[in-house]
Amino acid sequence: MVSGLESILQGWLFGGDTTGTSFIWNVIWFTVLFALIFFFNQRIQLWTYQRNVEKAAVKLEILAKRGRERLLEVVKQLGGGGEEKVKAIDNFLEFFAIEPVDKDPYGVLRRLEHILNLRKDRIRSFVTGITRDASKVQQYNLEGVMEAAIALNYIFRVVRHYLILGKKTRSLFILMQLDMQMPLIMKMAEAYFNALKAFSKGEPIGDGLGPLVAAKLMHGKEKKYVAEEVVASEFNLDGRRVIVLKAEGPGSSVGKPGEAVARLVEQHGGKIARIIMVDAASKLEGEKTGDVVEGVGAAIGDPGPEKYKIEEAAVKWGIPIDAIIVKMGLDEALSTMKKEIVDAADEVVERIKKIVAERVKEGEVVIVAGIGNTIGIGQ
Amino acid sequence: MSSGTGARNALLAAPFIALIASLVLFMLSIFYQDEEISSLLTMASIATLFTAWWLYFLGRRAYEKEKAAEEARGAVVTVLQCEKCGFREEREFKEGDYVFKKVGECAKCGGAWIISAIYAKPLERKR
Repeated sequence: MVSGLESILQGWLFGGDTTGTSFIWNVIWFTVLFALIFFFNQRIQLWTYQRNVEKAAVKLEILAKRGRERLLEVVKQLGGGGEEKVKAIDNFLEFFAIEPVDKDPYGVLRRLEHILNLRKDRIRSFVTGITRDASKVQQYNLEGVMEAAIALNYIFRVVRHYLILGKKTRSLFILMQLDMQMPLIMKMAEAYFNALKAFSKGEPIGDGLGPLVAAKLMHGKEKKYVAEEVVASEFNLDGRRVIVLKAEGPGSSVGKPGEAVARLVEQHGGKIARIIMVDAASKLEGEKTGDVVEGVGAAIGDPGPEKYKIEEAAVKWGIPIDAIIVKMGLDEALSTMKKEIVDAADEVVERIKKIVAERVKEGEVVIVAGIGNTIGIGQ
Repeated sequence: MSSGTGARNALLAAPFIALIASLVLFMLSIFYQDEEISSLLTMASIATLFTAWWLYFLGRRAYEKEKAAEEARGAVVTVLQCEKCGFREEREFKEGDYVFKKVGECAKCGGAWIISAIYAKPLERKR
């Protein structure tokens, strides 16, 4: 008995029968196979990469649209509804800032700071303009929502640009690169989307680790403003004078901690024993979220100006800088704070106390700077 | 649990049923005497096998999506604590909550009742 499967395999596919049909089938099969391998292999690859990127672009578009909707929802809740405002928000989603020229690097950080200040002022004035009756905290949080929505919109537009460019030029090179970078791009977009949710509700985010540690140290003590949106408390700890600073919460803000540290150092005539900086830092894959690690140097992830000010002050007066970082992923830094990070904050407080006791002499002054976004964290 | 679980179970059961159907068709093709019908049954068996694979692929994707969404839906918890006696309570996060906000007085000792922490708690998956 010859089964159906055997008859198909022998007769049709592999030409196993003795009639002339088998020869024709063999020729057809080999021609198709060679044509596919020699003439269409790149087309097939191109098509595969293109399809992957198209699928990712659709997801990014959905994230960008949902981001915009969430933004409009928050603005409406804060009393900023209306057709005109929706139009203004849509226009503002494409807001950009041009980085200063760095071919002549002289004074580039001063110029960058100027541009960053302008950017912040423009976003702030726009938010204040569309939500006049909202509180300061709500407006600051809305700024965070706006920033996340702008980032999502930008990621989608860039990916779409390269996808269309790759399709137009039929460039395997463009589409392949885009496809290979897509997992990281998607991760970043999802992180911004989660940030948008956290900002709209005013929940503390992972990046708030530094301000949380500072808040734990300064809670219940008198506060004063030391720089733009930065508050500080001064108190004694085992005979050492400790100055703790953080961005003023609970609204979304990172303040100007570099400016604050530089001013405090100058106010004390450089007589600062140490500067201890606490910040959230990117973990490497395989590392645990919430791990506390110590090092040296200015632990601050700003674009440059604030870090520069701290380093300048430290070099001018020869002040050692200790860095305490808590490891977390980009998505964890931008989304609602995890329990592991909250627990790590207590460990960091203990480490600071230990550093002060071991490396600072009695009567000396030490600055502790909690770096990060203080959304959802008071003081 | 929810209707989502029912849909998920259906998505997981469908490829299994298709696989059984494919096997039955293949067995029939072996034992059927008529060659033409046998060939048709074999082709139907191959087609059903591909359908089973495709259904499995779809089901797995839907399951992973649901799992990711469930994880992302994790509740945000506000921890309230008395500064004086250390008594603490947890409740769901409410808009307007922030760490170190004074929310009242401790029911036990009358000390300052503050928010000591806010964090995302992963949702426990129900089986």
